[in-house]
This record gives sequence, C-alpha cells and structure tokens, in this order.
Amino acid sequence: MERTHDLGGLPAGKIDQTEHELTFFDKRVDALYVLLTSPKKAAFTMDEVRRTVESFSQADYFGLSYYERWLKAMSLLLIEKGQIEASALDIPKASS
Amino acid sequence: MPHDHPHPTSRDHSEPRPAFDKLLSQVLAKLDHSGLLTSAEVTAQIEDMEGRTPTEGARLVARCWADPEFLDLARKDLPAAAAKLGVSMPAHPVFLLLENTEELHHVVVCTLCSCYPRPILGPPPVWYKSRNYRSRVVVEPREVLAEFGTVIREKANLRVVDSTADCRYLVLPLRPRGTENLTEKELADLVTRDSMIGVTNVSM
Amino acid sequence: MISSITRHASNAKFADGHSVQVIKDESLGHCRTPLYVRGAVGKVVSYIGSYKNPEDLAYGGSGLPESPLYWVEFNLAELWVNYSGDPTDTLQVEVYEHWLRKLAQES
Repeated sequence: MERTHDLGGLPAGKIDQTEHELTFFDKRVDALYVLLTSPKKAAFTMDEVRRTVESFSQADYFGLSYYERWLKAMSLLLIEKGQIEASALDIPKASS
Repeated sequence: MPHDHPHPTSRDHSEPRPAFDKLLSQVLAKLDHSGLLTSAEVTAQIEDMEGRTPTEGARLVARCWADPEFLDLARKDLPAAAAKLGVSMPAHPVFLLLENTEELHHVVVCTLCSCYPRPILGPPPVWYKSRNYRSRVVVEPREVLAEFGTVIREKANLRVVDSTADCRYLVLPLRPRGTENLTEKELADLVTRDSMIGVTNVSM
Repeated sequence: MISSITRHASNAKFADGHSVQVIKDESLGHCRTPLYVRGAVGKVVSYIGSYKNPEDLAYGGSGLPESPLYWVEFNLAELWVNYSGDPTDTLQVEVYEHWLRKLAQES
C-alpha cells in the first residue's frame, strides 16, 4: 500500500517532456496549499497533505491530476480538522 | 529497466474535471465565509507565484558565475544571496546550492512527491512530478539524462540527489567555455530551468 | 560540492564518514525514508540540522523533539544489482537519525 507514492527504482517508461502551462484551477489549488500550510494560517501541515495523498488508492494517486490530488487531500483535511462540515463539500469518490 | 508497462494516463495535461472545479469553488467559498482565507489572499498568492519563474534562478546562477564573492555567499547562505537579487525565500525548508564542476555533475529528484526550490524556480514542470522521472532517475540516471540529450563527461562523477526531507536544491551548472566576455544578463539568458535541475548542461 | 551549512551537531549521533545502514523496517505510516534505500549501507556525508519529525507532523503532532537529519551517500552500483552506469556514480538522500544504525568502522 505504502508503495503508491514511493517510486524510486520502480520500472517505468520514457519521460514525457511536454511542457504544460498551469491552468487557473491549478494556480488556485497551488495558492490554497501554500496559504493553508503557511505558518500564518497553519490549517494543516505539508506532511498532513502528503499523508492524505499517500492514503489514496493507486487509481486515484495516478488517475487524478497533480492538483486534483492536492485539492482532494486538502478538502479531506479541512473536514478532519473541523474547518468545514463534510456535508458542505462534494468530494468526488475514489475511482477503483 | 524501462519497459512498456500499462500505466494510467496522466491527467496533468488536461483541464480539471467539472467535479473538481465545483469542489474548489465550494472550498474557497467556505474558507472565505469563515474568514480563514479570503479571495484577495488567494489572488495575491497567485500573483506571487507567477512572479517566481526560472528567470530568478538564472539570475542567481549568472551572478554566481560572474562574482566570486556572491558565489561564496550562495554556498553558505542561498536565501541571503537570493535576497541580494530581490528574491525572498522562506526560513524553512533549507535551500542549498549543488555546484557542478568538471569532475562532478548533480541531478535532483524527489522520489516521494515533488519537492522543488519553488521560490527561485517556480512550480516544477510536469515531467519532474511524473511517475517515470521519479522512478527511473535514481536507478538509471545516465539513461534519463540521455533522454534529455545530456551526456556526462567520461571522467565526471554523477551524483543523484533525492530531495526527501527538509532540503531543496538548486544546481549551479558549469559555466560554458567561451562566455568570458558575456555580460551577466547575457549569461543569465543562457541558463535554462532544466540545467538548474541538473538534467541538462548550459551551452552557448 | 554542497554548500556548507553552519549548524552545531551537538545532538547528532553520527559523524561525517560513518558507515551507516538504513533500517529495513516497514513504516507504519507517513515517512520520508524511501523504500529503495531501506536496508542499504551508505556513508554519512554530513549532519544537516535537526528538524521537526514528519512522521509526527503528518498526524497533527508537534513534530517535537526535532530529529537530526543527515545526508547519506550510497554507491549506485552497490544499491542496484544490475546498475549500468559508472561505478563511481552516487546517490545522496536526506535521512533522519532514527532511520539509521551505525556499522562497525572498517579499519
């Protein structure tokens, strides 16, 4: 299970070097992450975000985009921390 | 080692799905309402991020090449050196310079997630965060560098640096020969993002 | 070369050049020691500093006491049986002290 994110040395293919501009969605999720993990807001730590992302299914870890993964993890943490009620968010179910 | 293994396709190349766009709106609205995070703060943070690009790193590299005293400072205290160029960096994590020489080439990866010196290079490129780069560069770095068109000098040692915990690294590429008469600005224009990650060299 | 950092290593158990083995345990939760170096023998390059423990931070803890962190260097040809690169190629990883055990020094 814990292997999902821990990729060093696993067999893998050619690296896709295509450049991609961040979308507006990506930028807002990025900003959310930086702000909420900052010492000033401290809603949760970077390590809590990592722990949450690492608990995702393989299908979610690799199937979601990078920023979709971050958003899903932060949403779960905001609920875990009591900042937002679970009923207020429609978190997409894990794909299997 | 690389083989054709069926992996799910990365979604990092596409627009977010509507369900995630909706979730983001819900989170932002809730946080704005509770006062934890205002939309003005989000906008300001996006602006800050957009101002952090590999250009900052390239200016730092060029100054290191041009000014031995600055290089000395960058070796000891990279954030202090960056501050001299007007680039602010947080107190943590620890930012460090990995100095390439004729004898030693560095290449940086984060096999566990996507750690990257964001204050001086901006957000990492998609390939840096990809499964294939993170898996392979620690086991076949020379093949990975070859994919980026980079051949390490035969006598040079190669050091792969896995950014696993509290450190973020900026590679100081080797200054190319024949650049003695260039201005600092011209030097900075030669420096690419990928050379500061260590997957390429700087060339004229 | 790596930038020098000036921190006091008073609480650090391992000195530069010590041979160390990364503990092979399975981690029970979040941790920052990659699986591919667990059980591997390397050499302490230097002490970096002491930082909040991510294994505690990840579950809402304070991360205290801070844990000493080291750069540990591995020889890639020793790490991977079929390593195809140069025998002098190395890998450097940041490893927390509680993931390391000292090996007897070769004479």
